[in-house]
Amino acid sequence: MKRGQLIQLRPAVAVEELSDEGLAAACATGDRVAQGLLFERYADAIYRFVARMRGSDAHAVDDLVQATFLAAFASADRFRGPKLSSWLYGIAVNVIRTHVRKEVARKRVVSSLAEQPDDGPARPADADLAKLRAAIDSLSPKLREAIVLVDLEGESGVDAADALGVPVGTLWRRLSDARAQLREAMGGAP
Amino acid sequence: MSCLDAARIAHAVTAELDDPHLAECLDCRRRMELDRRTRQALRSMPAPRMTPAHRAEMAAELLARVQLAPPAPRRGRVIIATVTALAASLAVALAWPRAVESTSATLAMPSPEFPSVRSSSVAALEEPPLVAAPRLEASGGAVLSRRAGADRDVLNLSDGVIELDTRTARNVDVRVGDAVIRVDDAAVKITARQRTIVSVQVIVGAARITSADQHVTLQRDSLWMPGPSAKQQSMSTFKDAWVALRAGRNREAIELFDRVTDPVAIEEATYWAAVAAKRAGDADASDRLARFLEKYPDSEYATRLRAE
Repeated sequence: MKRGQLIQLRPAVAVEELSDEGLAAACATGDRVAQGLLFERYADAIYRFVARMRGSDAHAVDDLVQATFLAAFASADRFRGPKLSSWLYGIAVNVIRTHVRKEVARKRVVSSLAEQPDDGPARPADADLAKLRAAIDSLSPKLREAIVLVDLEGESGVDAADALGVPVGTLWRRLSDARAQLREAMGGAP
Repeated sequence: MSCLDAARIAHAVTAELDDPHLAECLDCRRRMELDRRTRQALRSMPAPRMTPAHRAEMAAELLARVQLAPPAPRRGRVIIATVTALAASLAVALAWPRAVESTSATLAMPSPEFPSVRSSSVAALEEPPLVAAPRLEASGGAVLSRRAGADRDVLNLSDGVIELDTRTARNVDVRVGDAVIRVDDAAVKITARQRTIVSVQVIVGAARITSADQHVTLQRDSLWMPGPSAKQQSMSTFKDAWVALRAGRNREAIELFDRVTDPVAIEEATYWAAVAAKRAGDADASDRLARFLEKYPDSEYATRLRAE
């Protein structure tokens, strides 16, 4: 065989007991149960990630989450590890980037008075939180991806770099820049 | 010793690393503390959550969309029309005494019986009972060719998914790249991509996978996949190397870092192998650092090394 060894014999398991690799392989065969299980396992994480990346675009979040899973189902046979979550984050990143590009193009064409999302007046207790959210939203997409994956979602640097398709060193640089910009936006020392 | 750069501090804060430099550098400790507080503030933010109802609704909608979504167009599908138009001639070709190459994709093949082509009634009587063709369903943009044999067929599968049932039918050897899956009196589902097996699922009976150096027999209700990819192994090795380095097992760390090949981690691995060599007091530590500088002159670590 071109790659991989014939070494791994998996015993008969119910789809609920499949490892991530097994689940991806089962999804690649078009198994609806496996696809449902993949969604069950990772819906919360992907939803959180998308919502944090597109927090000011709440209506798009559901569509982007679904688009992420549809893309994952369609390309499950290309999953080569090491972590299914990183692979899904990578897909979500691409789905969001595509969405943003389309949105930018659309807004250039449609020069209407777009209704800005209104979260209502922030309660005093929420003021810092709202400020932090706004600061995250103001980051460039690449910096936001780094900080959402590592600091908010708790991914390791290596896994985040893998999801974003960049060397680990680049990930650390982006993370450092993102944290500095957040501090600056929050009025602290950069 | 020079101060840590910002990326190094971000790394140290995230991975909670102990850097000996911090013990003696007030400025770096202060910068790390700022980064740590920023991270803590972010980690304490409430996470967006789906309600159970929202989640269930999204799952239902997603799976409905999967069922409605048309399969992605692939090269294999383009030839369906041609293949369908040639179905009648294909059946004749299958019945021809010589093996005939054919190409088919994404269609459920019926089980054509070998028509009797012998003109001699004596010969016909001496023939073993004709065995039905195996039941084959291809999907996922399957690209395959099929050659019918007297006692068993050969299927060459390059891409896509096939469901194959050879019960009470001719047995089949499915070739994917240089691997052969022998399907005798069994029902299996095989997924391949770019002439490589993605998975083999045995639904009924047993199947045997053979390649140049491996033989695996799969029983009913088993799912088999190739071993971990080079990328998986490489990233796993990188993590193991980090564990060893942090535990002070420098020589083990060097050996593991040296085995990392994935482009995502190779720069880090090369640098930290050199650091581990230095900590271990290895004679080649300087050479390692020099090689790192030569190979990654723009690395953040290179900047730091030059400053030292």
